[in-house]
Amino acid sequence: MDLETGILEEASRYTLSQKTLNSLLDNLRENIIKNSNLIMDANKIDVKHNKKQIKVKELIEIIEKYRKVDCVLNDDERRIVIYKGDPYLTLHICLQAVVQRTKVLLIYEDFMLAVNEILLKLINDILEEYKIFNLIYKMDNFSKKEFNKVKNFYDKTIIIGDTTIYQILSEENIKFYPYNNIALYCDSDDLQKLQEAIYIYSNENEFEIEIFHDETLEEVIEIINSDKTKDIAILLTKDDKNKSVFIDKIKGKTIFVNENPFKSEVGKIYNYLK
Amino acid sequence: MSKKIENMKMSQLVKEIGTLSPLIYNCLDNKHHMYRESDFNEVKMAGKIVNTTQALRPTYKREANFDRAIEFEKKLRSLQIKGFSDDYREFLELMDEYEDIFDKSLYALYMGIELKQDIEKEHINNGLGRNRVFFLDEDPYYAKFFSKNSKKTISKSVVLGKIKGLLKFDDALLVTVYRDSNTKPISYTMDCKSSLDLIGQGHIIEKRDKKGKKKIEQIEEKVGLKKALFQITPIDLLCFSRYKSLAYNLTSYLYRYYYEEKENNVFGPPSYIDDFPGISYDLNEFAEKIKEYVAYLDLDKMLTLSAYKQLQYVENKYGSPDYDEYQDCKKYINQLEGLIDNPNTIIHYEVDDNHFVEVSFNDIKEDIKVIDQHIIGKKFYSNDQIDDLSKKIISGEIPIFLLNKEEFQNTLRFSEQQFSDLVKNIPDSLKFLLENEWINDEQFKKIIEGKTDFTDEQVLYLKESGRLNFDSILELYNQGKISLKNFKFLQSNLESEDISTIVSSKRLVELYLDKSKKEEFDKYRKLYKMLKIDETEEEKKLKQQAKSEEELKQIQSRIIARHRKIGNEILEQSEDLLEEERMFELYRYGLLNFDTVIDYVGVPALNKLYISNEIKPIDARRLYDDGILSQDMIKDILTDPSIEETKKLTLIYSTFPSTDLEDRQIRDELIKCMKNPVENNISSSNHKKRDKDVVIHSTSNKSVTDPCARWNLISKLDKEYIQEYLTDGTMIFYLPNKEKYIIEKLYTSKQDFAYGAATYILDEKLFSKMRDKIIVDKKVNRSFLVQLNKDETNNVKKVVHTGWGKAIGKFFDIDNPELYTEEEKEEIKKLALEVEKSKKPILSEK
Repeated sequence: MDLETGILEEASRYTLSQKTLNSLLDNLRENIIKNSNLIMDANKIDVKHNKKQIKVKELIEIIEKYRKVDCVLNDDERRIVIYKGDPYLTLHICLQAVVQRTKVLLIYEDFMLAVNEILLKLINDILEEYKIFNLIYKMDNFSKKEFNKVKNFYDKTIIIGDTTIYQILSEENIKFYPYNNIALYCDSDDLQKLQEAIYIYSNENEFEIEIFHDETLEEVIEIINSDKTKDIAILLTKDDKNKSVFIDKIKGKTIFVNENPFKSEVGKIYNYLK
Repeated sequence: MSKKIENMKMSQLVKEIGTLSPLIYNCLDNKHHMYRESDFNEVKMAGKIVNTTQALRPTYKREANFDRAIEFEKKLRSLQIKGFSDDYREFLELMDEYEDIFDKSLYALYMGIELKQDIEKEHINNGLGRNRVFFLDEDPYYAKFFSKNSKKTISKSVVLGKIKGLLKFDDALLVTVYRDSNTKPISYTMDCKSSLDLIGQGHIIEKRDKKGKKKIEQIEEKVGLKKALFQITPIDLLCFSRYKSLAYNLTSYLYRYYYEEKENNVFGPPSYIDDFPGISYDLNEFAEKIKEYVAYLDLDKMLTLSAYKQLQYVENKYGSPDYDEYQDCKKYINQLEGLIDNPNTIIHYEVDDNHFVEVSFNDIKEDIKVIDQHIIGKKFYSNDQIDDLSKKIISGEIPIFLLNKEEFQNTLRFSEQQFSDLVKNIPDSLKFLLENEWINDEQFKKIIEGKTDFTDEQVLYLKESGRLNFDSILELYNQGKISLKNFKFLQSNLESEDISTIVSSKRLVELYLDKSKKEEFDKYRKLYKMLKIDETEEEKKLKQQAKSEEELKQIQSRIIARHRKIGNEILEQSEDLLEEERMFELYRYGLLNFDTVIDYVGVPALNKLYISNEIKPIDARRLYDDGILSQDMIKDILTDPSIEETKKLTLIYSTFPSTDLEDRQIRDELIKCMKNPVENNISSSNHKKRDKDVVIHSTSNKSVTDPCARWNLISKLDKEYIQEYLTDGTMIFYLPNKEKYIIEKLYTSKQDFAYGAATYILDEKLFSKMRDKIIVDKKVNRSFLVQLNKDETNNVKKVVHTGWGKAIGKFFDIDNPELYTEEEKEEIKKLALEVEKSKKPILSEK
């Protein structure tokens, strides 16, 4: 694969006051709203392969979250970000790149390709208006060979939610963040349907989900607590005692008991680029 | 600077006294024998006859208190003017008082010389050689020097004898420098008198002089005396002069211009400027004096000092030595080597105030070796810079061939670990080092010992170059350093020899039967299988090129026949192998093909094997295709109530795994039979049309993934896979050609299709080692698998069901053309999509 020149070059050293940031966000917001039909059309193309439904409203809400963020502009910091391709994450990562002046190379495979492409185009168009160049790039598909070509030009690699690639890359300078990485345990036949629904939804949205079938509650709790790649623990039960034990003993995860964990479109977000 | 100050003091002394006066330097001689007090007293007595201050000056100590020396001379002068008494008591008392300013050896020498002259004069005058005799009276002054029993008279010759006796042990050189201000220009002369002459050993001086002059000639011829003296200054004479009195006096003599200039008696600029600002001497004159006084100099020390100072000059110049100057200096030092008689002679050289270095010529040569070890190209490298360069070469940032052999060997001087790292990071470097002889056999041996693995190219090169033979390759394989992949590469690329000869059936069976060699056997059998049994490249090519089914079958038959032959060869090694269990085991290992097993155990054993899942799916299918295993036979098994339903399903899916219509139809029929054994008619037709797609499920509405879709995919990863079914619904897949185990939950304990449970992939070695902890009571201990996965060194991979097919493809590197053909890759990808598609709600069959 021939790499685009910009992937290896330094991003432009722009300054970004709060005022300029707000203006940029305003323009981005307008651009997304103006092109919302385009985004929806792209989503329709993507739905043939992946079932995820994108809401423009959610994209706008994400933009609004960055209005009050302090701009701490780095000097030639670069990150490779490998993730599944959730467009909401794409937007978050791009905005974090802007406010931190950190060059990012996004790598994801074939999830929501059309929506991501539109989104990246819209973002880069706005950035260009503000004379911000070479900040955000995408590389098609992950292969270890291609990764090895670019990794030396970047300071750090961030993997969000993709445990497969995290296990394949045995590099030192890698940080993993979970993103809707789910562990689920159901001890009631009556709640099997809910288990199935969560499972199906997770697969459609490329959220990694692990279901425990024949383990005891204690075994499941031990496994979940020792698994740093998970950020969500779900228990489906009709047993109040099990509920208390689960809530009490699960550490460091967002816990859901007998409820839909996907009320919010977007999972827990971190400062991925720091 | 202390010398400069001393010089100035002496010049002041010169000015003070005024008249024809020598510059005076005395010395503290190292070999300072303490005389008996009475001996020196008698010597002192001799001083009565010498009564000029000038004459005594050469005998002062170098470090004598200047003011006391002036004081002594003033007092002596007054005495001389006043006149001595007959017994010269005043003189002796004065000498007693100022004894501390005298160097006893030089005083003795001086007195000895005067006495000798005196005696010779008297001999000439008196004819009979009678000495003048001193008479000593009862004066208490004299009494304190002599015991009651000693003689009251003392003659000159006796005193002379005593002096000679003292000087035998104390070699001294009396040097005086005379300045005559009456001449124009002011002239200086030097006079040396040796104690060796006095005691009749003047021949030693002659010998030294002769030897020294010869050496000077050699120096002139080889390097040039002036070059040797280039960095040496007159003050350095202290380092290589046998007598310090010569060093000081000669220095003063050579620097006389400086003093005259200071006194405004300038008489011409010098011809040479040395490195003392404002102080100058004439190098030509210095060289001449070296020749003149060579008998009193140690030339080994001089040359050693020359080498030392030249090297110091080059090293310290501008903080970073110039390469060409260094090479010139090195060449010069090498030239000196032939001129120095004893290269271990140590010089004691004052670098600055009270700071001395002691160094020999051999030390300097060692220094040069060390410096040479810090040169690459024409640049000097510090130790830190060399470390940094080594790191860059090891990482590949700087190519190794930018250095030359000498630089690599002498300057970088890699340790064992560094060699290992280099060869690991840059596999081609091993070949480079060997072909260019940058490493010796010992180093090569250490590298091999330190390596944990080899690249294919390395193994091939080492074999072709003869550095490794088959035995050593096998040994390295047993140590885990050479892999099956390396052998595969050798097999394809080693043209001169047949690598399959590295293994033999005899050895295979020996290891198999020896239970203590299980580990070695496991490695050996895999190698044996790969080299002797697996389809050869030629066979694969023939199969690909087959134009018809018939031709393909013929090729397959030939392959089977070959396997049979090998199988028989193995079994012939020992009768112990003919036991059924042993044969089944060898079959599971892939060492015997199924046909060989049937040859020996017979068809009835098939059922047992089939039911217990001993037969590999690939063979089960072949048995079916060859008509040995019929549908009716399978249905009999399926309707056997003693066999678990999930096991039956395993049999169905392992025999008919494909998603092709034919296999699906057969599966459907068999499943129906399994569910409704009475209703279903037994049919051997393979082409019965199906009404609809039906898969097994439980009674409730469920959305499931078809576990068989996953099974299908796994079966494509290694067609020789073997599965083992556990009671908790987990299937353990063993992929012998990938040396991996896959732990996949297909069913729940309630015998529903399982979905969402993580898949684990383990190395064969780890699984075998940890099997008892992974499988407990025929169930998988998932907590333990999680712990294994957490530790990266275990290389245990965990795959969740989201994007499962793609993830499996990544972990098994299906895009690698060395591992999978294009067709195999496409098939696996297709099955990965099937797995995704199978995640849909399915209605239960009414």
